[in-house]
Amino acid sequence: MHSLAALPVVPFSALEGVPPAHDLPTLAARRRYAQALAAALASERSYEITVRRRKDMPLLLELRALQEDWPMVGTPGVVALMQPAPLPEDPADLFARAVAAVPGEWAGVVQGVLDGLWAGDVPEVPSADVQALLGEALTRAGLQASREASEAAHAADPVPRRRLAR
Amino acid sequence: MSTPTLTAPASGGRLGPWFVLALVALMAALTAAGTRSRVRERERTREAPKERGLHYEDHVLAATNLPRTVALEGGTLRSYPLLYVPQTTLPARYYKSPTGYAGGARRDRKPHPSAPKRWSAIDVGGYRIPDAIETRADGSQVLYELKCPSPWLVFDKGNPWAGHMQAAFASQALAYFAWAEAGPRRSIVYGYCGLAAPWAVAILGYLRSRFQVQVEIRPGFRATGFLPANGFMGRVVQETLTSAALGAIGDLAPEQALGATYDVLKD
Repeated sequence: MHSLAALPVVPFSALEGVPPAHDLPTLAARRRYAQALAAALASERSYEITVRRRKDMPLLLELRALQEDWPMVGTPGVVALMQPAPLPEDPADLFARAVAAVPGEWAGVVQGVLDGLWAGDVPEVPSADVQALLGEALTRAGLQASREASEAAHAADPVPRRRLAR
Repeated sequence: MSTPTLTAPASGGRLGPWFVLALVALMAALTAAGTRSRVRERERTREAPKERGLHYEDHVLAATNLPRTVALEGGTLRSYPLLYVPQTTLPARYYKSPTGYAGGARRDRKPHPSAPKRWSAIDVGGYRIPDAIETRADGSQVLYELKCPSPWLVFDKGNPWAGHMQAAFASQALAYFAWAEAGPRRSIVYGYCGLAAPWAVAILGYLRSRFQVQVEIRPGFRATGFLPANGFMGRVVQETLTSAALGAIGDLAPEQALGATYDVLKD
């Protein structure tokens, strides 16, 4: 997304709910989205933030971050990089926590969406209510992630307390 | 002895003065058209980075993009607001980037004499127009400036155009820092379509040391789906990966790269 609502690898259209198939072109992208969505519903993190000094940031890592859609938030001195957490071997527990967090009448639909994505399918667009629920969960998680990255960067490179003479 | 003459195939007769005049007029028209075409081509080339920047602004400020996310958090976004800022100046500090992005930016202590000695936020009675200002529900404000330059510029010390480029960037940034300092809970975000140029980051760091203002630099800011950025980043990725994998061709032993040495002739 690389934006204010930022999650690594998750396409921008996910803010609206389940994205169209062309935004999730590979099995890896579908599993990443499923992981991010499940974590968002379960109020867990699906990303890791690391902070490096600019001079220690490898160019290839920066280029890869842009290519893979890993958000970066920087100050003049440091860069906070948000990468996806490793995919779980078996997502069953994560999915169960996610499904438990949604209203009962939508649990089955959400379980189906997550299982389908993990299997490599892009499920049919669920009802507008479910789409809104999924979109809102990811937006909330993205905003939180963006705030964390920003805070991590500013904590590592705060504004100098002593103002230099002009 | 007859004088050789040009003949017109259609009539088979002698060329009249009208034909010569028409030929001259045609050549003049073609030359003028060629010149206009070259001028247009030069203008296209010159305007390309500017147009790319404008397209990037349109992309980020589209209703479904940044304004929508800002609204989700209960804030409002004003695009291209007029900003009247205190008249502020600062001793200029220039940078050189002789080896490009990977080499970073270092202080240029001998900038070109035409580079301004002090940066000025605005001219007398002037104003600035940032790309957008977000006002959040808690009253805090964030100024967004969107940039889409090439991060791969290479320039050494004393370069005149690099001096003017940095002065233009820094003067604008100075105005934004002055605005942020003038009000409570104001901060600045520089959104880049790709990587942020090292000289720009260095200037923002210098300004931050003079103002107590938070500045955030976001590479690849909302660049998903913005093809121009993908284009020039993609080329660099390819070049960088190739270079990392192979090294310079000249570093390879000729036997490995090109087979047996062929440029050493033996009798």
